[in-house]
Amino acid sequence: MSSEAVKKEFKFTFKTKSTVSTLTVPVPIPLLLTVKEFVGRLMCAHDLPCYVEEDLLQMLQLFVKDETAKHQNGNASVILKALEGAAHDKLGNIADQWTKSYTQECTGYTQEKKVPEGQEFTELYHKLIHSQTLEVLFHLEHTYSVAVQDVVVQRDKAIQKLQSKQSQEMERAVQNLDITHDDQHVNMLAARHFENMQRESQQWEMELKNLQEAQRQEFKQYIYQLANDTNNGEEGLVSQRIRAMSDSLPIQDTEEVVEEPAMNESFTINLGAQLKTSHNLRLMSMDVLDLCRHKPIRARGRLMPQPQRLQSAMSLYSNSLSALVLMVDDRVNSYTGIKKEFANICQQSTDFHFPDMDTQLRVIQQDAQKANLLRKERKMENGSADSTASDGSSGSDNGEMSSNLQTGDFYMTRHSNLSQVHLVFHLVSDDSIRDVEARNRHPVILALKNILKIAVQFDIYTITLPLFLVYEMYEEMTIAWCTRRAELVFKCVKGFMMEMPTSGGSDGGETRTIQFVVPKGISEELFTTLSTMLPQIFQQSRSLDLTQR
Amino acid sequence: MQPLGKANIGVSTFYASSHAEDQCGADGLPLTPNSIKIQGRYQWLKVLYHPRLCQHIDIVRGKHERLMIIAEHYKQCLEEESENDTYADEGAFLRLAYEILEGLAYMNENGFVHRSLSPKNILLDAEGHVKLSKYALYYMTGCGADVTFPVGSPRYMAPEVLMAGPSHSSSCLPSGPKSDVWSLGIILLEVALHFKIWPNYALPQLFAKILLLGKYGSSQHPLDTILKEHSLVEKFESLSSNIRYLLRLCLQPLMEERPSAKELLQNEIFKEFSPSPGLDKSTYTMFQCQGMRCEGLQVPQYIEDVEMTDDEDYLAERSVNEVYYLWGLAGGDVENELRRNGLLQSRPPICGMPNVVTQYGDILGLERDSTSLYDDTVVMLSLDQLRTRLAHIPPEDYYPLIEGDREMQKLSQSQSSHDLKELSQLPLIIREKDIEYQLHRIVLYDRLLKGYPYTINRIKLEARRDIPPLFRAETWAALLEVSGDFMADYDKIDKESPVPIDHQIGVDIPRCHQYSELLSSPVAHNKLKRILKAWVVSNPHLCYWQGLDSLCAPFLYLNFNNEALALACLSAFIKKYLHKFFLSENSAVIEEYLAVFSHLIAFHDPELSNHMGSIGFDPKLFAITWFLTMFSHVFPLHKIFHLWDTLLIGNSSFPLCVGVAILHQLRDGLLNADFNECILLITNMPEINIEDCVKESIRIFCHTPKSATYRQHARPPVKKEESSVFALKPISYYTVEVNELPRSELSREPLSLEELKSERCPRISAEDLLELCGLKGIENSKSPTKKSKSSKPIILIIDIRNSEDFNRGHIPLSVNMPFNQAFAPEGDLVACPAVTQLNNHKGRVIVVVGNRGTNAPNFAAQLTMLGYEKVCTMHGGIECLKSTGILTVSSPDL
Repeated sequence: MSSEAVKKEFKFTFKTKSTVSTLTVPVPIPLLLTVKEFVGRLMCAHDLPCYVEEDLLQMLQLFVKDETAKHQNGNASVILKALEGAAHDKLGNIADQWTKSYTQECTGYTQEKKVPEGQEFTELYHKLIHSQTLEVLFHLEHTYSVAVQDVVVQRDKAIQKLQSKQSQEMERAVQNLDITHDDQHVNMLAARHFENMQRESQQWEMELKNLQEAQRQEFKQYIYQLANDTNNGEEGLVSQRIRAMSDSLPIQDTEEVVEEPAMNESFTINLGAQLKTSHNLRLMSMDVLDLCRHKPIRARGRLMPQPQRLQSAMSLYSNSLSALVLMVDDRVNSYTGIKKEFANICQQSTDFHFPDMDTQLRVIQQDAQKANLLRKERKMENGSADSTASDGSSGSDNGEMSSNLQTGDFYMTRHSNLSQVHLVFHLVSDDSIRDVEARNRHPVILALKNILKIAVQFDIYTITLPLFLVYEMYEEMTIAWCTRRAELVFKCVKGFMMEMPTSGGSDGGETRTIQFVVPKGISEELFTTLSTMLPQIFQQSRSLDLTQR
Repeated sequence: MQPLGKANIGVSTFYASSHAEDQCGADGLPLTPNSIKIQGRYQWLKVLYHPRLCQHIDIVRGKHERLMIIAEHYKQCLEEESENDTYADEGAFLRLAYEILEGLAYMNENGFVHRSLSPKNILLDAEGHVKLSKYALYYMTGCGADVTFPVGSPRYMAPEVLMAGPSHSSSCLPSGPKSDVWSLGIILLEVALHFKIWPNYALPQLFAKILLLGKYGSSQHPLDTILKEHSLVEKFESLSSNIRYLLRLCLQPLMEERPSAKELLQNEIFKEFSPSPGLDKSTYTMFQCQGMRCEGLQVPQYIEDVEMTDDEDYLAERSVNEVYYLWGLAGGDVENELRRNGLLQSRPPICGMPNVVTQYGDILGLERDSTSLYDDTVVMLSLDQLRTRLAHIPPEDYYPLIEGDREMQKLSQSQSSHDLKELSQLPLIIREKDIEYQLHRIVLYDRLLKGYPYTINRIKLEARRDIPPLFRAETWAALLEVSGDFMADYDKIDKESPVPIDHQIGVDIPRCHQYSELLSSPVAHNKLKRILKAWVVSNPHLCYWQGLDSLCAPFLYLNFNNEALALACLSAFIKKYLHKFFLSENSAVIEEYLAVFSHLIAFHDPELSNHMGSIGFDPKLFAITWFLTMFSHVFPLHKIFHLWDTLLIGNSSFPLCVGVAILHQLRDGLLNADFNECILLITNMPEINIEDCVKESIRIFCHTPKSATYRQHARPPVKKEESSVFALKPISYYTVEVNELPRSELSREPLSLEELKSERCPRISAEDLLELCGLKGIENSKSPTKKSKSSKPIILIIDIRNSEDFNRGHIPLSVNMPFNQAFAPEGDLVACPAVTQLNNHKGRVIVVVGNRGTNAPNFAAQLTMLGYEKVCTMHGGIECLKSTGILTVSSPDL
């Protein structure tokens, strides 16, 4: 028995002059229409005389009321029957389910409102960075980053020194092969070199980590102190101390490096048939990691905050985040390629808000395993229908689940110490994306859709992605290849943007920005081609013409 | 709508559950977000009124599936009050029970149940009467399916509710109305005996206990079990027999034996009580209620010497949703109120990011945000700011005189309403946000609409200034002259049985104005389908053309809880503005319409018309949707509202002027574009400034001779009964239909379509010509083209016959430009005194008059080609004027 509607026979008898007519109709219970409407339809459909309408209405109202009550009683009785027959442990089970749904979903019933870890710190920081303490905080961060960079420079020097020492030794050994050294010696030497190198770098790594950990602790304390300090409006002792600390650093005027993209162009576009929403699009030719690097500028002895960096710091805990899409391989680590470069940038200063890159990646690896498990389960579900032929391909991950991801998956890392970026989407890609034939069903393209969806869900208002879906230039990337790829990405992104649900409510005012990055090396001519293609694919909003009237 | 009285307005909030992953419905479209589903269901609650229920006012959708519910609210609730001895008296106790049952019975009648009845949400108004709140949560969330939290109050849930389990799967049976009676039983028991059941039990034990009450209900009455476990048997016996009887009934474990709320109300024990009085029918407008509103009307006695007290609260006399609306205009914002009370705390998004997302959209590493838990707190909106804002409004402004002569009405106006005169000159957007202006408009329209149809002419007059958004729905209905028992008519139409067009309707609806939260809800889809089907069924001679859905959308949006009125408005609208457009063979109608449209473009903007002609950019390529949907397909709803506000007071030719006004705004873009770019520009339709567009349309309308928009397929004059209020004389020239003027031999006659299409310029009737040059009597000189009684004629008549004919007789002040001598071979005008006169006349109407035939139209076309504005020809040629005797012969000396 279910709550679905049942049909009940309704009989209505009325007299016309001498003949007695009876109307019999099935009435769905519960009746979703009003009784009046039902009567109206009956009157028309059966051509009933108008003087019976009132009677019919009354009778039917009664009938529907009775039958509905019976239906509802029936429903409840079924449940009560089940209750009578239920064993005690089943009742306990149900009671537990209810308890769970109350304790997990309602504030009144959770044991105590547990304040999430670090929430207080988050709120304090957000408050301070939006006050006059901003400058002091900036000084503090700078002081710390100088210390970190010091270590990094020392590390790089030491490692370089060790490297050259080792290569000299090796050179000597190879030269003197068969004279003072034999093959075994050389092999041993190489092994020793490797060991030494590893030890050395581990030591540095350790030192860096300890330093950053100490800084992190100190930073937190400072935040709490600052919060007390500035309460009375005047700049307090703590602020002065921090200022003094950073001012005592050796002054080295750095040249003002403006890392503006080599070529860039912005557009405002409108989407939507009737109601238009406007979005900002930007096409830039640059090294994408320049969005992450930041160097504090010291000019004439004064610390000059980089405006983009300030903006990022201020919006860290806001509802307007910016993110970057990096293209990575399927392994969740930071050993090679752009992954390594990015990790190095992250290491340049301490992240005071989020765990360091390694820790974040470790957590992600665990989730990646879970994801693979899910994937396997899904495959099993689907596979049971079309035999087990596909088992062979996934044979490699038989034992424990691999933490390697698949093309089209992505993972996210959070950062507070980068120039213009809070979040990085690491989108897993492979060589197939270099194929000119990659179409709109390619997993990487589909992943863009998921990325945009996450962006809507988590208030990411600026997102940067590679227009060619690769950041490097390869020889197969001819002009034709580039324009074709750009067209594909533009069109797909447009489609995804139109599909995106508005997150509702007060969303209307804010516009989202999507930045398309092309490699630094492309020709001006190609860039122009791309920038004319963009407004053709997206509908550019009409600029307001003030000369009119 | 009930007046505010001493009520407060409260807001509460919760999250709808979000859909997992990338799910699609059976139709392949993305699933409707749950918050939108809830929003759709909620709308109906706004019009549900019962004195024992808190009135629902509005629902607001926030970011990320958050919903905010605004409803009537009271500070006092049963939970606190029951600790006093208020209900020790049997009468007071039974009254409490009776009033709660009244509320429950009303809900059951309307087909939904409370399910979370608890002493906390049984509120008490200033007089101590019951007001149930939070009663619709179970209903609006689709029996709890659209939220993650359980709907119910643990202590008071019935065993059968618990047994069904908290899961929201569709297989799970929804709770019935009698479960509320159980909750009531427990609540009353607690009140009667001053205790709480199982106060020290943790949730699991509590639930188990209640379940056991049901399990062993047949062997021992749950009431007895409870009494025994709390050792209250003796105390219970000391209660009056009526109370004991009532409690025993409410807690019956078996469904058949437990009475429904309605049955209980009719029980002997309540025979002293009578139902709470509802709202008087006379407080409704004609559109809101069926039947005679004067039924049972009691005119209050006029008391001569009522003393005016200063502290009279006039705001309290306004209805709750008016007050809420004004509160919003006074700067109120529900999200802010919630935030101020700590209910809208959410963690920064960066702290809640997931770690991994797979290509299938599986999201991993997402932590549950503890701030998204359900909190049932209600925050009261402070009306202080609103009251201070309106403190200086004098009492008489709340009761404007709308009867009596102008002098009297003026006398009754206060100083502040004079200031409003100035306000009414400001842009519409500002007026709509100005609280004082809106208060005055609301008060006025409220009274006018209650007086409809008697007040129809005053409504039309006021609508020319503006229409307050709060009353737009009914004002539109009034402007469209909806009358009669449209509700009964709607009930009679079969909207359920399948018809062949169902499939097309089903395809169109999910694409119709879906950016609107309201219209994208399943409830809205169903309503739209019903209205469209009802229209198709009730207009068998017409058929469904795509676009009807767009046309219906504004009416549905405004009359969401009144389908019948939406249909009545739609039908009236189509009859007036789209006569014959929905015939299955409508090409002749549309082509005529478009030909007239082309004439109007040429008349007002020859340069654009010439350009469009040269690149072959025919209005047929874009304007059919414009007119078939009266622009509702090309603009978002908020723009359509402003556009139609004006469109509805104009006549059936007004839409043509709107079309020209839109082209005027796009003019620069179009003039610089080739054919393809023009098509792109128009199909993408850039943002149009609607207020400018409306102003421009009115200007164009006023500068178009009425007969220029004559169409043979326009709606024939409607006969109206003499006695009907609608038969009164139209209030202005604008509203008169061309077809409703008395016909004479000087009027326009239908042209064949070929003829119409071959001509570049509009024709005007001889009547209009006479009127325009002031040759007709003064009583008829109401034409808007005549600005003042200046000596200069406002039109220039060019007589293109040869000079002999001209000398034999011509219209006074007309200029002779014989066709065969006028143009040089290159097409330019040959210089002569007449041409100078023509050039001096730029910007005025130029009427080309000749003999019957194609000469005059051709001449006019050539003038247009040369960029002359406002060129038209006279229909019927000079011959038709012979009988009027106005033709003069110029004296030979000149």
